[in-house]
Amino acid sequence: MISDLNRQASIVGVGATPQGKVPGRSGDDLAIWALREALSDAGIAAQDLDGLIVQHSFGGNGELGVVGHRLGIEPHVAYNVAYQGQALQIAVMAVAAGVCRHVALMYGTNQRSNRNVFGMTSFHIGGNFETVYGLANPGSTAAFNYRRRMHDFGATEEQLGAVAIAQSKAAALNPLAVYRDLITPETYLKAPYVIAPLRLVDFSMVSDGGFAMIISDSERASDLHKAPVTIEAMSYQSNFRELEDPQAMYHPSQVPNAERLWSSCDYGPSDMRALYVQDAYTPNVLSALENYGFCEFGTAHEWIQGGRIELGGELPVNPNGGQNRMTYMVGWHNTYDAVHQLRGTADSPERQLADCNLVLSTMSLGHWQNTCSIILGK
Amino acid sequence: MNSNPREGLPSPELDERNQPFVQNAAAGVFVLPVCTDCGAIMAPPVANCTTCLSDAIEWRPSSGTGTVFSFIDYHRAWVKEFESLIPYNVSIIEFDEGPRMISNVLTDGSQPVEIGARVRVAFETRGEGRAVPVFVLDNGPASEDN
Repeated sequence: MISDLNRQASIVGVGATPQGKVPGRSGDDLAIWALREALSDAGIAAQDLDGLIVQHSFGGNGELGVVGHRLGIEPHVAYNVAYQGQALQIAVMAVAAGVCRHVALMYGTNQRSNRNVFGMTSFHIGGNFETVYGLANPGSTAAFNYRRRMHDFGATEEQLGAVAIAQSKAAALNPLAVYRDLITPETYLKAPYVIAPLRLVDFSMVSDGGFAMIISDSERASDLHKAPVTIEAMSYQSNFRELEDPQAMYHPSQVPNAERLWSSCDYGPSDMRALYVQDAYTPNVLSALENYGFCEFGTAHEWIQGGRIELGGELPVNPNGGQNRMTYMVGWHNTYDAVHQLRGTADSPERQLADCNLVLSTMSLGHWQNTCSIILGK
Repeated sequence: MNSNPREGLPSPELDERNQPFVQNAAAGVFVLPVCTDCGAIMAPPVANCTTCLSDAIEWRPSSGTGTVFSFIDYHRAWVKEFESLIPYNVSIIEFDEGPRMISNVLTDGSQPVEIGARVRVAFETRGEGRAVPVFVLDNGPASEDN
């Protein structure tokens, strides 16, 4: 049962590189840089690793054999994965089963310096039908989603601005964030459309950077770090039906994911001090708030008004500024920040959440198809 | 419909997942893929039935009518051929038979595209001897389902 994994694994080390534009370094260089930091944080050497999980990365980076060779190691368990959720699943299961003692998880990308244009969507349509009809960019999914929300629930464009505004306030206080300027309700509505109804500031930026973490057996975790972060509970779900799913517009894989998560542990949404969402596009925050039970389905665009998801609000969402304003690191940056928040070591005191004991982080691959959510605690 | 602004839009590549769809479109016929084992009706392109995994797919003439399930407007042309059409519509069409498909809704601007709007199929030439289904707002007699 998934609850058998609860609290078996802990994050004992995290590492990050500078973010944004880091020219002259490949994605692998950045992933390995981050791993060096994480190993140092955990107080172990690469040779102590018996698990290695590397995420594929733009431009042919993140190949397991290439990275593994550069690390010079002989792990029992070695995987290439497509997103952080898969990395966490494997690492937690390996450690909980006693197959591995120390698993390294790593991701690095140079897609900004190497100009990844994100032409493809998250749909698996086949042939060249995307091109035939001018469908492009993964933001199309979120744009369809918000347009549907506007019809179904009366959401307005102005209401969506609250997400980017909240993220900008958090990013302004984050030395690692790429965009530190503030967005206001006025500047939000003046931002140009990219894929209407979404505007430029509703999109994640593209960035270079690397993140890594070390996951170990919880029983040994405090030998390695004085403030290990426990993976309290975890849930994963995939839904490959895409447009064939009746609830196609509202991130359907999150619903059973959330049900399983909450029923596998003793916590509920109100126990979470913060929520991290992989916000490639601002509407993703709304889906997560509803699907994980922080507010009723169809109400998130109202619920977020009045500063509710800002740092000082009832439920801070992405206290690091998210992918919207901090960095485009497909959720790895959220785990990194969550660990520091829980340890009490957020790099900027104004961004440190008081009494941070439990956070929920949700991540995804392909927007609708794959979801992983974890509850981290101390 | 004035096809000039849409001249030069991409031509569909034919493969077994969409060939009957595109070839019928060139003859002005709208077809949908149907699984002859379990009866599931899908939207193209289709390689196998997504309900029972059968590859016994037949392409059957269909109404070509439905509603707009959602729509977006591109203000940037990742697909270069669409640059002169910015902002241009991409919609999810939900056919009366059930399945959904991504396409374009073409309008003359006199009526906005809205979720729930009725649409019907039209055919747009794309390259030599090729055509693809696109959709136009359908102001025909109101249906009971509306």
